[in-house]
Amino acid sequence: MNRNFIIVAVILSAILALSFDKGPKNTVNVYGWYGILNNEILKDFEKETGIKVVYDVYDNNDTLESKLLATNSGYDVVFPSFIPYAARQCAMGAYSKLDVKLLPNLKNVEGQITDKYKKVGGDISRLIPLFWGTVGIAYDYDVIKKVFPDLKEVSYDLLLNSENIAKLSKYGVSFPEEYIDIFPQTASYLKLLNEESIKTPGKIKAYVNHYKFIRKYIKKFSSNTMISDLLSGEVAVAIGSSDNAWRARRSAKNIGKTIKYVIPKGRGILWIDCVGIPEKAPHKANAHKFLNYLLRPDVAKKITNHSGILVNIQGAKEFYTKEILEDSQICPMDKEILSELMIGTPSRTAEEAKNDKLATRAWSQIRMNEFDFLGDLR
Amino acid sequence: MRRLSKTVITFLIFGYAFLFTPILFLIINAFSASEIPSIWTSFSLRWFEAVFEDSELTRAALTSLEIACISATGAVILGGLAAFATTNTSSFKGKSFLNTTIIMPIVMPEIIVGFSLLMLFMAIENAFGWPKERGVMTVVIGHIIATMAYVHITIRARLLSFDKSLEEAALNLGAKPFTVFFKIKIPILARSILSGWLLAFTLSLDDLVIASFLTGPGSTTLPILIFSNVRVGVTPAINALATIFILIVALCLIIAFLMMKQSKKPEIN
Repeated sequence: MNRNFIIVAVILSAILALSFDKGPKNTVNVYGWYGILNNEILKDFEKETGIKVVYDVYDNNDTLESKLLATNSGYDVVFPSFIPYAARQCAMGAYSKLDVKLLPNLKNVEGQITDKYKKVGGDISRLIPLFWGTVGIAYDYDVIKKVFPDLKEVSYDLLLNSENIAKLSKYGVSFPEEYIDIFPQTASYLKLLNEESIKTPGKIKAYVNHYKFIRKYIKKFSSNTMISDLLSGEVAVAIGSSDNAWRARRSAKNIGKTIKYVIPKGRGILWIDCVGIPEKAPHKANAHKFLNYLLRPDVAKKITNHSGILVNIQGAKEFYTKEILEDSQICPMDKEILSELMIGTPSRTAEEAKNDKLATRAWSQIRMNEFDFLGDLR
Repeated sequence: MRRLSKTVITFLIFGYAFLFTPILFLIINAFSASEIPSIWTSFSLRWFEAVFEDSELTRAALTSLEIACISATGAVILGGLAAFATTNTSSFKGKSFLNTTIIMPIVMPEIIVGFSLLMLFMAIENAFGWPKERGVMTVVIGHIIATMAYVHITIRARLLSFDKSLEEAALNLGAKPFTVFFKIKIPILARSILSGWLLAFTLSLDDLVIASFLTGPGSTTLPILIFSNVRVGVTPAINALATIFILIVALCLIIAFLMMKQSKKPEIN
């Protein structure tokens, strides 16, 4: 029996040892959203360079942030959203400076989106603005036509005017989860846009007062379930991201629905997701090779064509599928529309940070349908 | 055998419906051609193909199974030994204290277990340079800690009703303690060890919170992957994968049932 025991112990420890030994070391550890970099992109990279891609996924930016700010995440390439995450992490020194010599394709990252990114303090030498899209209104065309037969164009008047939204409420209206996707439009609607930040206590108070009247007509606050909400008829109008709207529209055809997406004039919001190399990345050379690969137009276009997320790469547009290219709302190319897009600014001073917190709190109170904290606002 | 009354049968039907309708819907929608899990369009097997084509999905499923197998085995070894120690006739100092503390992880929120382990690993890494990065091993350690208590309770319950005279008789007849342990105790406890293992396996397979704190490169588990799906929308590929899992589990249960029936037969004769 003693011998049997030893044999069992040896087998068990062998299994343990084998299972923890993860083989080849010529790898690059990529940490991104699920489904954005598809199999083909990763496999082609492995074929071209012989570097194995270990691709892991996270469910939200907070998970990524907690991994990055802990001592050593072990990841080489990550995809944080710019506002407020990447801006904040960059200020904390979470990203390593990129070696431009290893990134000849960085020249492709130019144009209006990059200009906007730099204008609000984006540091292209650490984080490259790779993905972008807009926040607009996605809607069920038949419902809107039925409720507003004479409507000329879909705008935020439908959702922020209490009479209009009341008419829509029985079909379901969904608003975004985070204030950055809705306060700029609200400010514009309430004619509060000026040189000053949109997040001063006075303005926030005005938003809260406004939402007091329309809160009861909003069915849900969700950014991620937009596709299934629109398709199942849970909601008929949703404020959300262009890539989700594109996917919803594509699937809607199969079930006989018409989903449309529009960037309301002058009230579109631009979002940017970056790509960068964490400060403590274990395979920095491989990470640069991977980045340079992603910045190639013929690679980047694959991301757009299967996910609807636009890439900020010069020359990628020529490769977009017709379906995306011909939709001026999903894929805006008009210089005027692009220049009108609003983008949030990262907070730099203590007061701005305080206002950010206030805005977050105000929006979560609105979501919970509690308006009694107004007294706190001066 | 007594026939069941109508009321009992009605209750039974409702009970089963309550338990199994969601799973049934999940399985049905796995065969749908639509891209949204909740909408049925037409019959198709495309999502089963998608599961096998999606290397991320299969890799996450395999990682999850690997973590679950290792941590269930670890939990059975450690939890079982703890159960033997706390039910042993000879008493030692701090026995009741050990008894209470060992089941602490059950009442401890997972988020605390996960976070405190993360802190611990970071501190150890700073002090000794190990573990260099988090991965399968750190998740396994976390899962063993979280599931050990359940295994301990399962095995301890069986041990408490264990007829000590069997053990004493064997010892009396000259068997060594090791022989007694493997030839008498383990066979009698086999069923509770197996159920403890399965319990730990399920808990580990299911865990999202601890894993998301302790994962590193190359160790995305299935629950993390499913959660991260929200960004691109959950597709029925998840339904298909779940259907495959359910099929495997059902198959195992049937085999176990048949084996139990087989082993019972000689007793009846």
